Amino acid sequence: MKDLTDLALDAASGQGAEYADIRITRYNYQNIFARDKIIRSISESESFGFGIRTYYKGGWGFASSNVVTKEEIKKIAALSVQIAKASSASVKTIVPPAPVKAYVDNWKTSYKKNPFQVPIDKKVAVLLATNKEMLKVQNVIRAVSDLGFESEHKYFASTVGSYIEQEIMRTNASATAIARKKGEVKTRTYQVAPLNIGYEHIEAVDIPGNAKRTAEEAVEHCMAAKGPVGKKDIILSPSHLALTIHESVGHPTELDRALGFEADFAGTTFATPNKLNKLKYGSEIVNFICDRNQPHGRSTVGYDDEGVKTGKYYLVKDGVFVGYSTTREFAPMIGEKESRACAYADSWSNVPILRMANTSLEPGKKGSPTLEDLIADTKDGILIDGMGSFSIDHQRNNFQFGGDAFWEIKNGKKTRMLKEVTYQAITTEFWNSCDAICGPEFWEQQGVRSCGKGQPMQRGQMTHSSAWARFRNIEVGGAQK
Amino acid sequence: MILSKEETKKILEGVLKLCKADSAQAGLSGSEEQLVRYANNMVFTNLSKSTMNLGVQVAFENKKGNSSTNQFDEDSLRKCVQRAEQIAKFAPPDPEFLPPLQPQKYKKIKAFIKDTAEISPEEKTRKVMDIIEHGHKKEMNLFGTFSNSASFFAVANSKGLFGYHKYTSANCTTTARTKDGTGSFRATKDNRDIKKLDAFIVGKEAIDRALKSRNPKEIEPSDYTVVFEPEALADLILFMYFFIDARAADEGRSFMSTKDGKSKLGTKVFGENVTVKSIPDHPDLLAFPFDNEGIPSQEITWIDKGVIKNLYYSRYWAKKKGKKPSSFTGGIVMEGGDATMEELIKSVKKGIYVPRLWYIREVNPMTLLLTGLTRDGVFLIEDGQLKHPLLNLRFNESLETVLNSITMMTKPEIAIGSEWELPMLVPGAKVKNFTFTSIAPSV
Repeated sequence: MKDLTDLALDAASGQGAEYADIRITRYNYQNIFARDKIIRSISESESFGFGIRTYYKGGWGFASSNVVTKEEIKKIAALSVQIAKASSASVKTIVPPAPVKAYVDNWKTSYKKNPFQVPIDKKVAVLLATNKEMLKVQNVIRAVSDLGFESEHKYFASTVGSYIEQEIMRTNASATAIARKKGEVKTRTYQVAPLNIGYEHIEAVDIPGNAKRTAEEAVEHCMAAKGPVGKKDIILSPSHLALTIHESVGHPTELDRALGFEADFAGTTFATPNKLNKLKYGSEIVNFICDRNQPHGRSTVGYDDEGVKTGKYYLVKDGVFVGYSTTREFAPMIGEKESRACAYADSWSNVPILRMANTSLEPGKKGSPTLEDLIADTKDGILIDGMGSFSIDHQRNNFQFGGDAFWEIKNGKKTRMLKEVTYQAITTEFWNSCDAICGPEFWEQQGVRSCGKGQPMQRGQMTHSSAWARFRNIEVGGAQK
Repeated sequence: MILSKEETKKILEGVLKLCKADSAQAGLSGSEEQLVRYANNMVFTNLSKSTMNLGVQVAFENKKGNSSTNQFDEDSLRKCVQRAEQIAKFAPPDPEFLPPLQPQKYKKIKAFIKDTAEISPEEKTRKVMDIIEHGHKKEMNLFGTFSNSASFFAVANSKGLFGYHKYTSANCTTTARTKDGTGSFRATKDNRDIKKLDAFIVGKEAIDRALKSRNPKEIEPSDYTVVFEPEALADLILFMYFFIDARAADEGRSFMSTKDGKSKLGTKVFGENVTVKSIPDHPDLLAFPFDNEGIPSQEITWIDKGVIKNLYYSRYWAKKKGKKPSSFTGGIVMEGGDATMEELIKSVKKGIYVPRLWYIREVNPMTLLLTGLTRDGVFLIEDGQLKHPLLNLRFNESLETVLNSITMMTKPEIAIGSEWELPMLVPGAKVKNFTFTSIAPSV
C-alpha cells in the first residue's frame, strides 16, 4: 500500500497542498437476521476505497473514490487540492491544525475468534434457538434477533511521515420479544453490548439462555401498571445509562459543537468554553472519562483518522466540567496544543469528523453501595433498564428518556413492573442529582452503534460504560396526558 | 460514478450470467456527491465523493443469500456472486421467499438535470461566500451547506426484468445566529435543478428571521393552538412510515391495529380534512419509478378524508392476503386547504407559531405518542399577530390527536423536515390543543 499512499501524498503536495493524508480502507460486513423461526437474511458485503484530505492556506479539501488505481489516486488527490484551494478563499484568519507526531505502526483489535471464520450454520443456530425459546412463552407474538460483524482494515499515511495500519473487528447482537396481551403490545430486548471483539463475545453473552426471561418480561410488560407522574428517585442500569451518557455528556462536550460547527444540523451545546473548569456539571461523585484505549470499546483504536495516538482524558472530574473531545482542526481554537484523537470517518468515502470517544461514568470507590443497597435505600422510586425513547434539544439542555423495562421501588423493595415511564430533566440538574454510584463490580460496558452527526451524515459507534446509579427527585411521567 | 443505462445493463447482465443459482436479482447504484459546509462565516468542510455499489441476491429454491461489493473487476464480481451462492447453500429455507418478478413497465421520471451534476466546487464555494458576506454585513454568524449530487440505480433479475433511473439533487441550508446568541433561524431549500435553487435567498431568509427571533421569552408549557409551518408538519407526517405496514396491522402489533388485534384498514382514524398520498411522479418531487425489488411505483392514497384507504403490502403479504403488492418510493403529498399562513396566524386568539421541530421520537408506537422539541423562530401568537419570540418547548403529543385536530390549512408546498432529508408536499396547519410539557432553554 505504501506505493499508493506515497503516490497520493506526492500528488497532493505537487498540487500545492501544505498537508495531505490518505486512508485506504477495506470493510467487510456480515449480518444475519432472524424473524420467528425463519432466517430472513444472511448478507456479506465488502467496501473498498480511499479518501484524500488536503490543507491549503487555512482551507480543507476532501475527495474519495472506490476505484483504487494509481490513475484515480492522482486524479482524486488533485481534486482534493482544488477543493482545499476553493475553501481557502473563505478563510479570514488561519488557525493551523494542532501538530501531530509521525508514527509508523501496526495496531489490531484484541480478539480470540475471528467471527468471519465461524461457520454460518453455527450463527444461524444461535438465532433460531433464541427465537424458538422466546416463542415458547405464551402471548409472545414475534421474536427477532440478529448478529452483525464488521472488520475494518485501514492504511493511513500523511505528509508528516506517518504510515499506520490498523485492523478493527466489531461484533454485535440483539434479541427482542414482542408480546400481546389484553390489548397491549410491548417489547423487551436482550441488549448485548456492541464491542470491538471477536465471536467469543457472542458465546459469552449466551443469547438463547436469556431468551426466556426476555420474553417473559415482554409479557409482564403488557400487564404492568402505568407509571406514575411526579418527582421520583430513579435507579438506572448501565444498559440504560449508556444512552443518557451519550446524549447528555458525550455530545455536549464535543468541541466542534461548542464552537458552533454543528449549528446547522446536530446543534451546539450549553457547555461553552467559558464554562471550562467552572461549570458544576454533576455532583462530586460524578466523573466522566474518555478512553479510546478501553479494551473492546467500540471506538477503541490505536490512532484516530488524523493519525493522532489515542489516549485518556476527563470531561468531568469530581463533578466539574474540565475538558472536551477534540481533533487537530478544533483543539487550537481554544488554545490547546494537541488533539485528543477524536477524528473518525465511518467510511473511506467520508471525511473524518469529531466524534466523542468511549465515554464512561466512573464507578464509585471501593465500598460504594451495591444495587441491593441502592434499592433498599430508596423509598419511592423507579428502576429503569435498557434503552427506549430518547430526545434532547439542540443545545443538550432539555432531555426526555424512556427505557426498555421499568420496575416500581416502594419502601426499599422492587415491587412490580411498570409501563410507559419517561423521565425529563435539564442535563446539569440531572447529573447534580446523582447521589450514588455502585462500585467497580457493577461496572459494565454498553454502547451506541448508530449515532448520526455531520453533513453529509455519518454513523458513529462508541462504548459508554457505567455502574448502576441513583438520581434523586427526577420528574417522571411528563409524557402522559 | 454515474453509468449510462447501457453500461449498467451490460454489468448487470454479466453478473446475472455468473449466477448458477435457480434465481437471482442484482441492483447497481452509484453517485457523485459534492458538499460545501460552512460555519462561523467560513468554509470548513468541502468534499467530493464518488461511489458505486453492486448488490446480489441469489436463491436455490427458497434458500437465499445476499452479497455486495463496490469493486468492479471481473474477479470481484465473480467473488461477489460466489459469496451469495455459498451463503444460499448454507441458509435454511425461507418459506416466505418469492421468486423474482417478471419484467415490468416503468414510468419515465425525468429527474436528472445536467447543470446540477456539473456545478464546480469553486462555483458552489463562491455562492456560499456571497451568503457569508451578506451575513458579515448584518453582523450574523452563518452556518450551513450547499450540496449537489448525481445518482443512478438499476435493478435486474434472472427473469429478464430491468429498470434504470438517474436523478440529481441540490440542497442548500443556512442557519443564521445572532452574535449575542439569543436569535437563530434555519432556512432550507431542495430541488433537482440547481438553477432553481437560490442559495442567497435561503441565506437571507435565515438572517432576517434570526434577527426577529432575538431575546425569546418563556411561556408556561400547556395545551395551545399551534400554527405549524410545512417543515414542522412534514417532520410529524414522516412517522406515517412507521404505521402503514399491512402485516404489522393484521398481526395486531401496530398503531393500525385495534385493541383486539385487527387491522384498522378501511376505518376512519383521522379528521375528514386529512388526505395523504404517494405521487412518485409529482413534478415537484420526482421520486423513484420503482423500488429495489423492481416493483413499479404507484400512486397510492394512504389516508382518504381520514379513512385508512391503503396499507403497504410486501410481495409476500400481498400474496397471502390476495392483494396487489405495494411500492413505497417517496413522493408523499398531504392535501391542504386554501388559507395562507398569514390567515392561519390571524385566526388565532392565543397560540404558538412553530416553524420547525427537532429530535422527534416515538414514546408509544401503539398510540403514536411522540415527543420532540421546537427549534428556532418560535413565536407567541396573540390576537392574530406574532407577538414576541418564545424559548423552545418540548412537546408530548399523539400524531393521531394532531391529525384529528387540524382546523385550517394552507396549500401544500415542498418541505424538508429537520432530521430526514426527504422532500414532501405538506401544508401549513393550525392544530388545536397541542401539548407542550416543558421549556427547553436552548437557542
